[in-house]
Amino acid sequence: MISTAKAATIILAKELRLEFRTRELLTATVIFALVVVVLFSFAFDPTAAESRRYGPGLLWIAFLFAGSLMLNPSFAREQNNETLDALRMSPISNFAILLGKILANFIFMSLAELVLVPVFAVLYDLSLAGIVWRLILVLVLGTLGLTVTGTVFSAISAHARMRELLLPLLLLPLLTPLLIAAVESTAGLFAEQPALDPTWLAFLAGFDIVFLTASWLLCDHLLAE
Amino acid sequence: MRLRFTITALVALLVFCAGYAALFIAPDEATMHAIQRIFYFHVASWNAMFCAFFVAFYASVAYLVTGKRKWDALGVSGVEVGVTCCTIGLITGPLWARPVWGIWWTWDAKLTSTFILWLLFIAYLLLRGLVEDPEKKASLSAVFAIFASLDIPLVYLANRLWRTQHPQPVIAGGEGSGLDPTMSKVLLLCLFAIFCVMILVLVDRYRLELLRNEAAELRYEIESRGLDATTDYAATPALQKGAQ
Repeated sequence: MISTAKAATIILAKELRLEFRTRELLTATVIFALVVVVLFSFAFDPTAAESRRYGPGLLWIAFLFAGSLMLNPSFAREQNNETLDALRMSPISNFAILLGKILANFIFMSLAELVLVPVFAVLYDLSLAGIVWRLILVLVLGTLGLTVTGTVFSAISAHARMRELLLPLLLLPLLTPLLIAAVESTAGLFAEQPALDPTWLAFLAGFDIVFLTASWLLCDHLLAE
Repeated sequence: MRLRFTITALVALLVFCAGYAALFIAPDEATMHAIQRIFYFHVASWNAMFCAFFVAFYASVAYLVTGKRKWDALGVSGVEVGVTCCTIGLITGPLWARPVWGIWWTWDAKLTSTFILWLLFIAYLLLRGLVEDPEKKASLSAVFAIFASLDIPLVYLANRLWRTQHPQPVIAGGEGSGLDPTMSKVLLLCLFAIFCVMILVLVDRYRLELLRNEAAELRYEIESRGLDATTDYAATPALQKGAQ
């Protein structure tokens, strides 16, 4: 048996290699999130004060929607040539497979956010000066929660019909606490006096830990035949 | 059969007594008067909902640990009954709120959290509908039920932390802030009555699910022998195996 950490790295490398051949998923995710951001500006036409107020919410909604679409192929792709069975037959633990995919999705989502956050700051005239590192911390914790739960639900919905619709349906209600915490943290950072509320950060970290632990405990049932 | 009928009749009687108590025995509330009486069934349905969802959570864990189909049957029964109780609560709430608060709905902590809870378990039911293979259906929905149950305290906590930061709408008429003794007794009676109804429906749904599973297994068995599951072979000797 290969150790979980090593196996997860191998799976991660496989996923990254696969994606960077075509980069279609990344491109589509970034464009979709941009479209959401633009649409919101038509729907609400915010003033400067309103941008500061609603901006963080809009940003995270765009990430959640884009994420729901981006996370589907994780396990849906594996269905085509039944490659998931091949993965399960190899001498690695089920959690390694899941962890590799979670990390890959985390990287994809982070790359998308790396592009989107500066664009968003420009479009809604919000300054990123002095808050970059704290913003990155919030983004990392939020994205981790999104990708952990999203990858797990991708594994669940891969077996169902209408999986493109089912994944957001399962994921988005579950992520509301994450959304609240992330939006409040980000709003605190974009406020007149930027401040990072430790309560929300602790909440985000707690959310990530709870669901990562749950995925670890339940991974055998997720990937079962 | 006789026992089920007796128990159902007793529960029906209990509900009738609870209804009578809520409408006629409980004292009239100072500010809200008659409409306040919906409180007895509103709170009772929330209580029933939490019990049903707890049963569903327990059954999901038990299914994943033991692999026995009966736990899956109990899980889906718990969720269906819980969703029904939640729907009742979400309907009686606005019905009560409109005359008292002047608004049908508000996005305060408790209401938002409960709405999310409802959505989560509706998603469970949708998931079950969209997965065809019975074993996969059982294990995947059990996993989802566990995730959803883990999320519930987080939802309530997040909403409470969030909503206490923002200004609250002024809501008049406090409930539960020191109940009159007669009201407490009527409330307990209604809680117990609705709880019994919930258990009764849950057990019936569980039985139904077990029967459905059995029927599906039998149909599969028949069809795997190359026979048609809807033909009555016993009534037509010509179709029986030996007669060829």
